[in-house]
Amino acid sequence: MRNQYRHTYMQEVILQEGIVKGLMIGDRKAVAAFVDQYSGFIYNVCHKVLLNRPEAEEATQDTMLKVLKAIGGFDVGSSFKAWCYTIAYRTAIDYQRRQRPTTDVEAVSALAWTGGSDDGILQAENRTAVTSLLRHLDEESRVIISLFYLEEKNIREIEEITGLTESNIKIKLFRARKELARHAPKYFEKV
Amino acid sequence: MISHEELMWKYLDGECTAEEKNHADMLMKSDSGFRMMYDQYSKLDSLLAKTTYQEPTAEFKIKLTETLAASLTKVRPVNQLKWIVSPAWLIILTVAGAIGLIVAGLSTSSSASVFQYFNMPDQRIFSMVTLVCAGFVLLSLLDLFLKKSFIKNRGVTAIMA
Repeated sequence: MRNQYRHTYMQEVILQEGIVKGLMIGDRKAVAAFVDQYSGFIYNVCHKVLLNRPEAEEATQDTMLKVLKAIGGFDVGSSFKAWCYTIAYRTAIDYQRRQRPTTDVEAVSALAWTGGSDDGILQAENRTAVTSLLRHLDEESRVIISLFYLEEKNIREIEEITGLTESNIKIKLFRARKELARHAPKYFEKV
Repeated sequence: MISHEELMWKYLDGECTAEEKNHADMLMKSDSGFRMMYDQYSKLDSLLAKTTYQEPTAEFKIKLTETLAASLTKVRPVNQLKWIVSPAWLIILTVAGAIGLIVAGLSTSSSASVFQYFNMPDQRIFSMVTLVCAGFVLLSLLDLFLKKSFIKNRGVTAIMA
């Protein structure tokens, strides 16, 4: 397990280095790799703050443009993913401050996503239920929950990305899941 | 003693110690409330694991790649010429200067002659250059020490502005 983690970590470091160097010299292939490797992560951070697909897409694009613009100032020795996370989180918070009250766009877009299959519809219903459930948490807790499952429950990885301590992450995670468990029965009926 | 709720999450995350796992297994057999909690929490856990990650759509990724490529300008890395002002040169000069001063000091027989030696114009220049280099080395070390926290924070703040 530890070797596997190290291997993945090394792969990520090499990949990160290639993308960062490519972006610094304005390589188009590096831009494509940047979108391929990091857009999902950035999008999920933005989405967990905004809980709204169109705005999360806008915030993701804005974040990636900011990263591209500021790449010359990136400290090569530090974690690129953590740097992207900081920019994405702050950008999403800025978007949230000027967010207009909307109807649940997520539910509509989730259903439009299904492709018509029963599995797809069930998945979309689950997604909508989870999105509604996550509204009971504050933005930071939502992002931590998201990172926890995104990084396959690897606390060390979340520590590196967010800069929070292990105990702090565990406390926030416990409180967030406690809150979700409290509200979950309302949503389980629908799923 | 940790609460049942805490124990349950540790159990589901696979983070229990052997003792905690035995305790949880025992509660699963004997406590119907704990079993019910397990059903609910494991359902929530798997639901979160399955649906938390949302893949951006392919259309969005294509549009994003095009937008980023269009905005692409050749960015000059900040540290491209870093090697010219590298503290390594200053360290080498300082060490060489210090060795030179020590050798000069050792090669003189008395304190009076040391004074005379360093009072010679070319030796004074040599000593001054060494001291200036040492000053630069100290400042560079200070810069390296502060760089991580200061530049990193300033960088992110500037991006967000």
